[in-house]
Amino acid sequence: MSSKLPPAGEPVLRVRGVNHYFGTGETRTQVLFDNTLEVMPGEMVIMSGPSGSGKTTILTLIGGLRTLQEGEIEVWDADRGDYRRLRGISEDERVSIRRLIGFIFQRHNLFDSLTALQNIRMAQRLKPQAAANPDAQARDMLTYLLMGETDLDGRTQKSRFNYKPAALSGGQRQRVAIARALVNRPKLVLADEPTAALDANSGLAVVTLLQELARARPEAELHQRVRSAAEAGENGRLAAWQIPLLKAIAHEHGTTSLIVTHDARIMNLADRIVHMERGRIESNVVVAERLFVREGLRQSPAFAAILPEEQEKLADSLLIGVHPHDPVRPDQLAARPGRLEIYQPGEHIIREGEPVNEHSKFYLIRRGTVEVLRETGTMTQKLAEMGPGRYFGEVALLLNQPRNATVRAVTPVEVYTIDRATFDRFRSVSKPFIDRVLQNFRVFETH
Amino acid sequence: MTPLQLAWANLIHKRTRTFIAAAGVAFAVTLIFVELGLLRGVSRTATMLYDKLQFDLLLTSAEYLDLSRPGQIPRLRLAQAHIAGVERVLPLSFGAASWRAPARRSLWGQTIPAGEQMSINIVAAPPEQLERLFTIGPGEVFPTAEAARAAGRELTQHATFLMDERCKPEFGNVDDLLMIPPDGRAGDLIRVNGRRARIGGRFTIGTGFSWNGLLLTSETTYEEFTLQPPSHVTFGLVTLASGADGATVQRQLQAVLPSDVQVFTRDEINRAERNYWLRLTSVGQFLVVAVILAVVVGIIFVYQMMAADIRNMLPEYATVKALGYRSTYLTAAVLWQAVLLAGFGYGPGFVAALGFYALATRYGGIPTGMTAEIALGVLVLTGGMCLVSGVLALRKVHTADPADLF
Repeated sequence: MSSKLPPAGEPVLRVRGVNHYFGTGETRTQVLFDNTLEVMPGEMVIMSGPSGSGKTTILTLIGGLRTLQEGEIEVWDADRGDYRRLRGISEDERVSIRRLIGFIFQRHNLFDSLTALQNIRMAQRLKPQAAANPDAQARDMLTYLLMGETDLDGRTQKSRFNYKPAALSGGQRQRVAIARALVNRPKLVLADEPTAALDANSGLAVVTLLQELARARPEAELHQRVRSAAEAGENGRLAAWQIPLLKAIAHEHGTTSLIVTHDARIMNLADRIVHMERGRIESNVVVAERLFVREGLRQSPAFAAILPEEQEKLADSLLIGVHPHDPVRPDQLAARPGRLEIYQPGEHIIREGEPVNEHSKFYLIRRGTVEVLRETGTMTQKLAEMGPGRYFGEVALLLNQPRNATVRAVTPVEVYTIDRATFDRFRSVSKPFIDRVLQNFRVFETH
Repeated sequence: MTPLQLAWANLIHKRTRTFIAAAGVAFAVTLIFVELGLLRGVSRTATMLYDKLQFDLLLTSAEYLDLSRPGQIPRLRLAQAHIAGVERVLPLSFGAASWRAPARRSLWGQTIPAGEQMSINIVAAPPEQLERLFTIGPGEVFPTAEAARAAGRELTQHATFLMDERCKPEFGNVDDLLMIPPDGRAGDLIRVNGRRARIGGRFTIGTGFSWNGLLLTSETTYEEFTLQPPSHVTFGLVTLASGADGATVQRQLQAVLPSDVQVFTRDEINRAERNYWLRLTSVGQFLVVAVILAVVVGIIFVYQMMAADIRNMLPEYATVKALGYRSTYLTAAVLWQAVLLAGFGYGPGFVAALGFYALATRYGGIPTGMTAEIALGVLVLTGGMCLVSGVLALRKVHTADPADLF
C-alpha cells in the first residue's frame, strides 16, 4: 500500500447528506435525498439501481463534474495527503479535483483527431510528476489491453498505437478510453459501464487491472486466469505475458473504483454494492461483511432453518458497511445504532445467571476473542474461547431461561447483536427445527 | 498535447472542412487585399504627379481644390515669388485634352479602328527645364539628366508631345506612335484636341484614378493646343536656396504674394490630395467600407465554420474538461485553430492578390502593387479577423458540460 493513502480505517471518499436539485423556480426538482456514503481505499464499488435513481448524478457530483449544492463530499488527494472538499469551491479547484479521478465513460469520448497514444498522452500531460518515459507507459498500457504487437496467444499482430478512433473497433476505442483513465493510476475511478463494449478477454484484462490497482494480488492467483479458450468460456482469459506487464503497470495500489454496471463479471467481484432508488442510497453493502454475517447466522440453529431470503434480510439488518477486517469507528457505530457493540479486554458481554428479558440479545463475533466461563462451585471453568464468525447467547433466548455461562472479552471485541424481539420473530418462523434442536440441547444438558 | 498541437491535429484530421474554411478565409483575404490595393492605388493616384516633380514649395491658385480642379495663377506671381531663400520658381501647367485613339487590337484579338475620342491629360513645362522639374533616375520620369535634356530639345519642335509609356494600352503603344509622322503619310494621324500632333519621345509617370493617359509638352504647344492664355500657369514649383528654411520661406511667400495664391509644402499638398481622394471622393469611402465589409464577411464565415466544428466536438471538449484541463487550455486550442486557419487562408489569398495586382496594373492602369506594409497589414487583419471569430466561437466551447458525459 502506498503511503499516500488515507490513514488506516479512513475512507478515500466521503459523501455526507448530499441533496441535489435540477431546474430552478417552480420546475426545481429534487433528485438526490440526503445521501451518505463512505468508500474505503481499494474497494471496487458497484452502483446499482434503476434508471433515474440518481446513481449517475451522484457520480458526477463526486467527480466534480457538477456543482455540489447541499451536503459535503470529500475526496482523498494522494499528492497532498489530505482530503479535498467539493462544497463551495471555485471552478478552478473543481478542475484540479477532477485530475485526481479517472473517468471511464460508456461512450468512449476519444479525440477523433488524435491517435490512441495521443489520446492517452492527453491524460498523462496533467500528471504533476510526469513519467520518465510517458510514451512507453502508454504503450505498455495498450499492450496489456491487447492493442499492442502481441495478441492473447503470443502471436505478433499490428499494433493499434497510432490508429485514430475511426480506424478502431468499438471495443478498442473503449480500451483506449480505459487506458486514458487509468494511466495516471488515480486513487479514484468513476466508471459507467466500462466493460459493456468489450469482449470476454478484454473485459477480464480491464477488471484484473482495476483489481490489481486496488490491491496487489499474488501472481499465482492471477495465473489462474491464464487458461485455454475452451476452459475460459465467456469468463475470458489472460495471457501469461500480460501478468508481468500488469505488475509493472499497477505498481501503485489503493485505487478505488465506483462503477455503474450491469456486467455480472464485475458485479461478482464487487467489494461493496451501493443500491439507489428514487434518489436515495437504499443499501450500502460491503460484500465481505454480508458474507461474513450470513455465514455466521447460518451456523446458528436459531436461523439455520429460515428461508435464505429471510436469512439475508436479517443479515442485512445487521450490516454497518465496514469490512470485517477493519475496526469500526465510533462515528460509524453512531450512524447505525443498535447493530454492533464494542467491548474492551476483561469486560463482560453476558453474565451467567442473568435473567432473560426484552433487552437480552443474540451475539455474533465480528472481531476479537471472547472466553466462555461457567461457575462450578467456587471455581470458574473456562469452557471455550471463540473468535470472529462464532455466535453466543442464543440458548437463553430459545429456552427463555437465565444465561447459562459468562462471556468475557479477551481482546478488544466487536459483536453484532440481534435484539430479543427480532430473535423471537425469526424463531417463530423456524420453530419446528428449533424445537428439535432444543430437544437435543435438553438431552445434552441432562447428561 | 499542447493547445497548438491539438488545434493542428483537429485541422489536419478534418481536411475537407479545413479546406473549405481556409478557402473562405482566403476569399476574405483576397477581398481585403483587393480593396486595400485599390485604396493604395487611390492614395498613389493622389500624389502621383507631385511625387514625380522636383520642388520644395508649391504655388497654386487660392481656388485649388485638387489636381483635377487646380485653378490657375498669373504667371507674374512666379516672378514675385523670387524672394530671399528662393533659388528658382518654375512654371508647370496641367490640363486635359481629347486624344484620337490609334487603331489597336482588343484583348480578344479584334481590330478596333482608329478615331475613338479619348480624354488625355497634358503637363506643360519649359522644355529647357525638364531636368529641374521632373525626377531623374531609374524608374523616375526620365532615366538620366541627358534623357531629360534630349526630351526637352524634342519639345522645342512644333506640335510635339512626349508620351507617358505607362498610358493605358488603348492610347497606343509609344513605339508605334513614334513612327507616325504628323502629316498623315502613313495612313494614320495623331490628334490632340482635334489638331495634328507628333509624339517625339517618352517619359514615365503612370496612370491612376485621375487620368488614363498623360502627355508632356512645351508651354507653347500647350497654349496652342488648349487655347490657354500664356499669362497664366497652373503651378509654380519653388526650389529653396541651400540652407533656407522651408517653413520660414513659406510664411514669407504667403505674406508677399497676393491672396490669389496658396503656398504648400510637399507634405501639405500630398496630405490635401490624399484627404480629397480617400475622404471626400466616393471611391475612397467605398473602398474603406469594402475593406470593413470583407473583414466582417470573413469573421462571419470563419465563425460559422468554427462554431459548426465546435458543435461536433462538444463531447470531446467536455472530455477535456472532465480530464481536468482548465478552460484556458480549451480557449488556447480554439484560438490557435483560428490563427492556423488565418495562416492557411492567408497564403492562397496573398498569391491571388499578387495576380490581381498584376492584372489591375497591366490592364486597369491602377497603380496597385504588393508592399511589405500591405502584406503585413493584411496578415494582422486576417489574424485579427480569425481571432474575433474564435473568440465568438469560444462561447460554444464553454457550453461543453462534462456532467453530460455520464
